[in-house]
Amino acid sequence: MNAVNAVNAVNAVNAVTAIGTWVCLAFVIVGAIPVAVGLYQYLLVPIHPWRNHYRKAAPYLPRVSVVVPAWNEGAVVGTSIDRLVRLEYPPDRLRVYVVDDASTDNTPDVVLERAARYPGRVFHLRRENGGQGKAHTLNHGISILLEQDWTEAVLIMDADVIYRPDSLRKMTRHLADPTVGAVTAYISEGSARPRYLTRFIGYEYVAAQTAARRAQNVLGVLACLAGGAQLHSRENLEAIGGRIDTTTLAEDTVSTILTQLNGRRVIFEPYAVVLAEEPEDIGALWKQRLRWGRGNVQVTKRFAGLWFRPWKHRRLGGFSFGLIWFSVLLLPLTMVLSSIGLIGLFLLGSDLAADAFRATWFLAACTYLFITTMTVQIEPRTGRRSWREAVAFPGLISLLVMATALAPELFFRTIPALFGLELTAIGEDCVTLALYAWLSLCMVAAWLTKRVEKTRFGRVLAPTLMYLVGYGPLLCAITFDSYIKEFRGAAQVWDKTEKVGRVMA
Amino acid sequence: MSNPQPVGETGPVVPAGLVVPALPSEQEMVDEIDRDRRHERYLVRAALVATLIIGLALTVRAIWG
Repeated sequence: MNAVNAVNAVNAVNAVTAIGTWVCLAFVIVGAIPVAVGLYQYLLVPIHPWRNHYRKAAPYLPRVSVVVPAWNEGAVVGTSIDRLVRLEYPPDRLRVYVVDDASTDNTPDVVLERAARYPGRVFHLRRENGGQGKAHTLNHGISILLEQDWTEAVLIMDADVIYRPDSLRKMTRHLADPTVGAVTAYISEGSARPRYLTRFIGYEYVAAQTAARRAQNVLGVLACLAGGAQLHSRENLEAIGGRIDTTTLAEDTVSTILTQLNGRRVIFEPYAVVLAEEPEDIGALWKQRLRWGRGNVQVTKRFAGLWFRPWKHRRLGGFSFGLIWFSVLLLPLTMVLSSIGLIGLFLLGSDLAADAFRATWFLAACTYLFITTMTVQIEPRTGRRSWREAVAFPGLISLLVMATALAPELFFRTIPALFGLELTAIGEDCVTLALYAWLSLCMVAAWLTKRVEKTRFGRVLAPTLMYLVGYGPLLCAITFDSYIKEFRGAAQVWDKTEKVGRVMA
Repeated sequence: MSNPQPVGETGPVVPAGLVVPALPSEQEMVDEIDRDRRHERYLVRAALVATLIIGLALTVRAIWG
C-alpha cells in the first residue's frame, strides 16, 4: 500500500512539474512577444518607399488656424509665434490663436504684443478660469474657430515647439486627399546643447516616430498624432465632435482613434520637422511619461471593444495593430512574466531554462542590432549626436546579459579564469538566477536611478546609472508606475512639463 | 490691452517689415513631393546595412562558438 502511495505521489509531483514547466515556458514565450513585435514593426519600415501617401499628396494650402494652448509660457510663446508667422505659408491663409489658460506670468503681455505686431494674424484668447488641463484649453480655442467659416484646417500645437519653415505646407499637402482627416509631423528633440537625458530622448523620438510611425503608415493605421503637431481638416474635427476629449490624459490618442473610426485616414509626415524642448532630468521625464502612460491605459479601457476585432474596424481592430498597441502597453508586465518563467524553469530543474534564456536574449540581441543600426541611419544628425545613447538604450548591463546568453562559456569560464577565479556550483546558480531576474530587476534599478538623482551625488551618479541600467528599462518602469496609479485611481492631474526656451536658444 | 482687432476679423495681412520666406511655386511643391517620395528609398539601404550587421554578428558567433 505504501509503495502504491509513493508511486502516486511521484506521479502527482511529475504531473505538477510538467504543468509548471509548460506554464513557465508560456510565460517566457509571452515575454518574447513584444520583442518580436518590435522587430516586425521595424521590418515594415523599408516597405514605406512603396506604401506611403505621397502619390495622393498634392500642393494644397488651406486656410489654417493654429491653436496654441498656453499656461505660463511667457519664456517661449513669443518665439513660437515669431516662427509661426514666418512659415513658408501664404500669410493670408494662416492665423495664430493663443489660448491663454489664465496664465499668471507675462504670457498675456507677450501674446498681446505679438498680436499688435502681427495684426490680423495673431490673436489672444483668454480663459479666466483655467487649470483644467490642455484639452479644455484647446476646446476653448477650437469652439471659437469653428464658429467662423474662415477656418479650413486646424493645427494644434504646443507653445514651446518650433516649426521648421516648410513643415506646415508639408503637412497640408496630405489634406489634398479628402480621405485624410489628420496629419502629424516628426517632433524632434531640439536642444542646441543636449544633456545626456535629452540625447536619450532624441534617439527615442527617432525610433518611436520616424521609424515606428512609418511602419504604421505602411499598415494604414496610426496610434497617435503628436500632441505638439496635429493638423486636422475642419471636416474631421467636426466629425469627431468639434472638440478634444477631456476624459483622459491622452487626448491626442483619442482624437487619432476617433478620426480613424470615422473612416478618415491619419498620416505621419516624416519630412515635416518640429523641434521641441524635452526634460533634462529624470524626475521631469517621469512626470511627463507617467501622464502619457496613464493616458494610454485609459485609452485602452475606453476602446476595450475595439482591440483584436477587425469586424469593428479593419485596421484599428486588426491583429497587427493590436499586437503593436499591447506590446508597448504591456511590455513591463511581459518582462516580469519572462523573469518568472525563467526562474520557474530553473527551480523546477528543467533543462529548458538555459535554452529559453538563450533564445529570449538571442531574439533580443538581433532586434537590438537591427533597430539600433536602422535608427541611427534614419536620422543621421541624431545618430551622430546620440550614438552612445543608442548603444546604451537597453542599458550596458542588459548588453552584458545578451553577451552572456550568446557566449555563456566566455562569461562563466573564460573571463573568471583570466582573474584566476573559478565559479563554484552555488556561485554559478546565483549568477544564473540574477541573469534570469534582470528583466524585472532592471525596472527596479531604473526606479532607484530616479531616487538617486535627488540625492547629493545625483548629478554624477544618475547619468552613470542611466547608462548602466538603460533608458528603455526607465520607460518600462514609468509604464509600470502608470498601471499602479491607474489601479489605485490616483488623482488625474495635468502636470505640465516646465519649458525654459532651450530650443529657442 | 486687448486684441488689435476682434477675433476672426481680417486685418492688414502682412505687417510692414515682416520678412516672410518665399513660398515655392506649385511646380516646385510637386517636385518636392516627388523628391520626398523617392528619398524614402534610403530606408531600404538602411535595412540592408542592418541585416548585414546582424549577419556579421551571427558569423562571428558561429566562428567563435
